[in-house]
Amino acid sequence: MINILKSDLYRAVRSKGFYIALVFVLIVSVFSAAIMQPGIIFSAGLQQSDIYECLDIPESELAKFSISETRDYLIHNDRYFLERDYFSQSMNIYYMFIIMTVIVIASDFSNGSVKNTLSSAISRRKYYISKVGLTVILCMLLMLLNAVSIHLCMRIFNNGANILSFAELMKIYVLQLPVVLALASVLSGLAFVFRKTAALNGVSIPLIFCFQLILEIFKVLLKFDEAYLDYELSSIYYYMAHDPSSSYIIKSCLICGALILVFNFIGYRSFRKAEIR
Amino acid sequence: MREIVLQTKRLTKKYKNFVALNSADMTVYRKDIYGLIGRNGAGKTTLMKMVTGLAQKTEGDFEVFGKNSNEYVSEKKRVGCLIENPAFFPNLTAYQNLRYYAYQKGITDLKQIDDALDSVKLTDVRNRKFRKFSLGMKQRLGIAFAMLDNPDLIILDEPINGLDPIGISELRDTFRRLNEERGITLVISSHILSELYAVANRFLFIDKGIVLKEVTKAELDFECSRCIVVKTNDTKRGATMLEELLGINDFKVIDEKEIRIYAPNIKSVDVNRALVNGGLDISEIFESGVSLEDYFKQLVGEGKS
Repeated sequence: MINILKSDLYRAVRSKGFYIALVFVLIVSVFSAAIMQPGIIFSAGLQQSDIYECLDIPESELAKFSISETRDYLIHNDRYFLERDYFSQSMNIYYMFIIMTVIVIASDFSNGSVKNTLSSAISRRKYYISKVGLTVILCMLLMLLNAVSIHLCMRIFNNGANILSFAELMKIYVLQLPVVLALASVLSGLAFVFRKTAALNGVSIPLIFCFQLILEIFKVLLKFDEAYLDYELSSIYYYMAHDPSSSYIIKSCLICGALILVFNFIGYRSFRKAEIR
Repeated sequence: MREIVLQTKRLTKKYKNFVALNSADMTVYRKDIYGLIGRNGAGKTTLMKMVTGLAQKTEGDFEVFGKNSNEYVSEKKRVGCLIENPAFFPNLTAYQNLRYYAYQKGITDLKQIDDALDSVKLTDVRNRKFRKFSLGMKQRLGIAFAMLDNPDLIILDEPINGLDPIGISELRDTFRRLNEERGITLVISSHILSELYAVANRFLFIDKGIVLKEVTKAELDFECSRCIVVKTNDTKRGATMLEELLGINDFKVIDEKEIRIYAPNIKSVDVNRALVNGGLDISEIFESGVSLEDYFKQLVGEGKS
């Protein structure tokens, strides 16, 4: 299993997509620190930015500010922590996870090179575990890079104004990990079901939109209790960055755990006896 | 007794109502170069896919190095494969692609990669990306991959597809060298009988998912050689008469209605006269001798009936 992890890592660092994902994360953190707001391209989910909860002025006033005026205002606002807002808003890093899944799993199927591995090197079980494992590891590393880069950018661009301590930073990182693991598992499971890059992209890219749309429809049509929306993945991701209660952490972890189990079960079951073409 | 490397027993693959392979039996011995011959869609790739674990069997079983399909995973390292078209990562070079698989197989001696590339004459283009390879080069890289880690059994599906005549000739030499010098057993599929005939020592003819015949090269030569075919209702008496009246021992009773005489310098007219004079009813007598292609056509024809 270690061998296949090593081999895939060897291949991953030679693919353009890997560096595109890294550079994208760095650009967004630099951009966010520079304007003192979460890079809008990373915003997703049902929750809105913390900025509006920390305002001493009417929201309409802030809208009149230029970018540099907004930046100055937020730097000197003791209640606003960009890093926390950035973490809670960066759900769109999911799209970088898709890149990692494509590199590790889908490209192997699309190129047909999976045949070489399964016919003469390792069993399907080991193959599955190794591939999912590496996808999860790469997603976790991408998240870590996201955390470290925004922290460093805050120090570089904003002289460490309103900065979180490294311990607080890591606490948020660890609390958000279940969501990361769940997303990586969902993507891995889908990759083993669809087994081609184009099909995986076609399903995984609109997945979050569709999921949120369905929840919104439920909310509107069925008078769905809004409290349940707090357990939607992007909401969990948001609240985990805002000192959640123990019970919320436990419930969220259970939901993420269920997603990990369900999608890995679906993925492995679909792959276990599938004919490899 | 020769060691059996690969054996299938009533191996069957069905896709809903379509039977891709029907109860196939084959036996590959150590140091064989085993040719799998059949037209496109005959079931060759399906058979290879099942044996290499890329497709699930519907019925029957197979053994590789004495291990059945459930225990076979532990022996996978002893098998090198190239199934269907050679598939590698287009953004990696030939060397990087093999390095990737070397990591997977736990190969620490990187010289093996160079040796594999050298044996298929790809050393000069080792740093060229796979996507820039010609079809022939891709095939050769696939064979280099199959040879990586010095397997005991190499399974190659249509390895000569896309190769030019010189490439085919070089590949043939490579197969012989691997077989003779390293003692590697090879299972090679092709729809080009003449190419397989030039290198293999045993053959399996397959058509429409049905195994038609498993023969050695000597048997194939024997069956394709010039002969006199005698059709009669009493082959037992015919055989006795051939020995006693004409002193011929070089013949074969094919079935209860056919005898084939392979003895040289004997004319069908003389055989006919002697047997008729001896009181044997002969329904047909003619001279035969078929090319490999004709032989295969005959087999396929038999398969139809």
